[in-house]
Amino acid sequence: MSQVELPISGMTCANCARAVERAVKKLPGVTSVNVNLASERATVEYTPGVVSIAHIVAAIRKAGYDVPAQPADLGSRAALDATRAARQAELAQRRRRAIVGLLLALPTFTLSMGRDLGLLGLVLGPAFAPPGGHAAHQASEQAVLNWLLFALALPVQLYVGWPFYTHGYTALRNGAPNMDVLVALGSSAAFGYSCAVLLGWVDGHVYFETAAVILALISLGKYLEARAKGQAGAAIERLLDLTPKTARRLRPRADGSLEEEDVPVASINIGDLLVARPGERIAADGVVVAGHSAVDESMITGESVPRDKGPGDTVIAGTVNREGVLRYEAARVGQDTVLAQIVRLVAQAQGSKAPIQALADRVSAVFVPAVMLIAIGTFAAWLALGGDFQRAMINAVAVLVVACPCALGLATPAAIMVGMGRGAELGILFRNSAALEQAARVGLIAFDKTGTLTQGRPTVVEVVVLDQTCAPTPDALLALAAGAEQHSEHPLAQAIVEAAKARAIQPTPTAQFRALPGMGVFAVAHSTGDNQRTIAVGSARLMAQQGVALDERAEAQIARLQARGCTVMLVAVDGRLAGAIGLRDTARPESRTAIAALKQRGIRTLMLTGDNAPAARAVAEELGIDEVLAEVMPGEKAARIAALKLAAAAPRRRSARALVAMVGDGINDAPALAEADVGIAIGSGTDVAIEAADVTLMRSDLRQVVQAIDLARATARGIRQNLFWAFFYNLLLIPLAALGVFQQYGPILAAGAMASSSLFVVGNSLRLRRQVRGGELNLSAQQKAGAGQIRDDAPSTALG
Amino acid sequence: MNTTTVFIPNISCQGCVRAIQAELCDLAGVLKVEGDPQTRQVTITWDERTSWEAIRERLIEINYPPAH
Repeated sequence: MSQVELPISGMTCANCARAVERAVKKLPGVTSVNVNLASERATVEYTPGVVSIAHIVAAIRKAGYDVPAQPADLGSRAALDATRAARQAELAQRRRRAIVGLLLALPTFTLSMGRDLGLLGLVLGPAFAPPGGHAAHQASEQAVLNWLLFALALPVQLYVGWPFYTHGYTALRNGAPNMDVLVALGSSAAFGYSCAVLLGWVDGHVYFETAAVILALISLGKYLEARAKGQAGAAIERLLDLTPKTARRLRPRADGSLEEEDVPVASINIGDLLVARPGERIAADGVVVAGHSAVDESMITGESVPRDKGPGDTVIAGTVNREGVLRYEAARVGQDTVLAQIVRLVAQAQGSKAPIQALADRVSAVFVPAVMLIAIGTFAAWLALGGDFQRAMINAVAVLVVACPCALGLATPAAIMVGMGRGAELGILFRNSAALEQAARVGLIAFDKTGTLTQGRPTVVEVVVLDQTCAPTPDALLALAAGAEQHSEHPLAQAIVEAAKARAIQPTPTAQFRALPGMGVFAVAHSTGDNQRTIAVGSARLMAQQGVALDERAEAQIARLQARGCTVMLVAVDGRLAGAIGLRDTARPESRTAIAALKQRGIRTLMLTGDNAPAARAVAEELGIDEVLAEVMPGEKAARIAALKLAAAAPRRRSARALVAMVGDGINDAPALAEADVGIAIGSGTDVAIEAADVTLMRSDLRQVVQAIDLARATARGIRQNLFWAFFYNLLLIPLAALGVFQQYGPILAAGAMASSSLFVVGNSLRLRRQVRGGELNLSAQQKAGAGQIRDDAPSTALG
Repeated sequence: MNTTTVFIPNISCQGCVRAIQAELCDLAGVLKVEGDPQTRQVTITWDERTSWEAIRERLIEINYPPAH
């Protein structure tokens, strides 16, 4: 039974969805159909062999609807290119708008301020002095200047301001006024009022520069933020790169012998017999029918030790065959492979993430209605108190004009840019501003185990002597094993050699090295005065094949080591079992410090792993991690994260720290990284994980997670302070405007507010640079002492 | 050769009309099916190999029962 999800276009109503369901259900071999009109997708369960995806697609087309592309649509290159081109175009347009805005706003601001502060009058003569009374205001030079300002401000208002109108309208229609509404409202009020002054409808001062500067600065801020955004879809592209383009297929000849042919991966069918030579990638998920090898599945699981594969074992598309030649039968192809499922999960998670509401927008949602109420109130009050209509109107507009804070455009970007810059210095790369804002609100961090909390490579943790006549001590056993393994590239072999080196043990000199792919190695020892002995080091399978007997005690020791989460390598000398070596992926020394520091910051920690519960629990206890989710299938990680997000958000929906972060490094972590509110990839991890994540730690040091959180919190604090200062001066001016004092002192006050708030915002942002220090973390002495212990399992001497 | 025009209230879009066309044309004897999603009227032409009863039954089966 297989399942396929197909995109369907052309459906417009519930009847259409039913028509598609009917058309597909009629096919023999289809067991269930579920068409979702809203998501324009059909999920079909079918029996491969009876019916193919091509049949299903044909039936849908015949019913009058279309399947726009292959099911790979979500991650196809064409779709990626399209989104990338759209992003580039959007960025270019934002850039044009910001540049046009700045080029026109600067002279507008200079001319206007120059006049208001009297500088223009000094340079160009008294005609350009600040308008003292109505007579002077009518002077033709003043009129010319006003018209010039109008000419400069008009394109800013229409071209640069356009997106604020469209986005603001959308936001208003959705009932959530955002920053765009505030900007559109304030700048329009200033611009419209100034036009009325220019046409002589009302007496007063023109505020063209206010409108232009607001639009220009905020456009600049938006451009800077957009530029910092990462490229969507890069993770999927990396995943697509992992799938081989061609495969070696075995085709039976007429005489019954098999012929090898190179075929494109897309043409592989279920049941095809495929071959993978050493160094080649597996082309489809399948079952090994012949051959032995070790397959590097690290890109899927994060586990660096290659998995031994023999007949009956499953192989995963995209993994690398290391040693021997494998023949395998394709069981899942194309869209059904594990890799394709991961691509889909990443795409789904990335697509389903709701855009977060920026803090500036959340403030605006309250601020905009308040300002509008005050403006309406001002208008009503002046009218009620006997003022004339024009005066009431002018004061109401003045409220709108002063309420729009120029520095608002800088408040978030300035802090974000400094925060991201400081992060880059520390080796913490934030993909975009949202990542930085979100990281400050994390309350739970889930860690992948292998390769993230642990080193991702095995270390010898125990050496057990089983036959003292072969090797009297653990050191002697290690010397023998290292001697045999020193020619092998296998990570387990290298770990044994390294362990010998670390204990200053000289490996037994050997010759005639021979490796059996997926099982182990042989070598002949020729040390001084020794008659030649054959050493075999490898798995239980190797011992069984060589006819080495395992007695009860040996079996018990193996079981004990395995229960501790160890991989067991057996050592045999001349066909007799000499001992066992237990290897385990040990925790990174700094993980413990990092976990302690996170707890100190009130963050819950959780381990998410595919490993068995005892092994996972052993590591969790060693590191002091609160919770463990073990035996999680690779495809399930994203779902677990989604569940954690729900659970974290439910009890304290409005709470500041209810977001879930995920730290991981493998391809199998990619969907979970994309699903998490904040995905954090370890720099030494796979490209796919890095592309799916929001944050990348350049040093493979979990203490950087703590630094990232600290930096994000400092930045969030900075943004809040900036917003406060951006709004503060304008808030002060609102009562003045409402009281009508603005008429007289308005221009100077407005300029003063603009300058002070901008200076405060920039100054405060720069202060952020000093807030997060590199290197040492803030930890108590006790925790520092505890962090020094790397592992406590010294090699034990087993009983003879 | 018979031609009937019926009003089908369930029609809401061009997709519905296409679905009705596809389903009815599967019946041997149905020669022509034309519909307009605006008026929700469908004109069906068929010959002696089928009957109005069969067509009506099929329309009900696919959840587009004709009015009357």
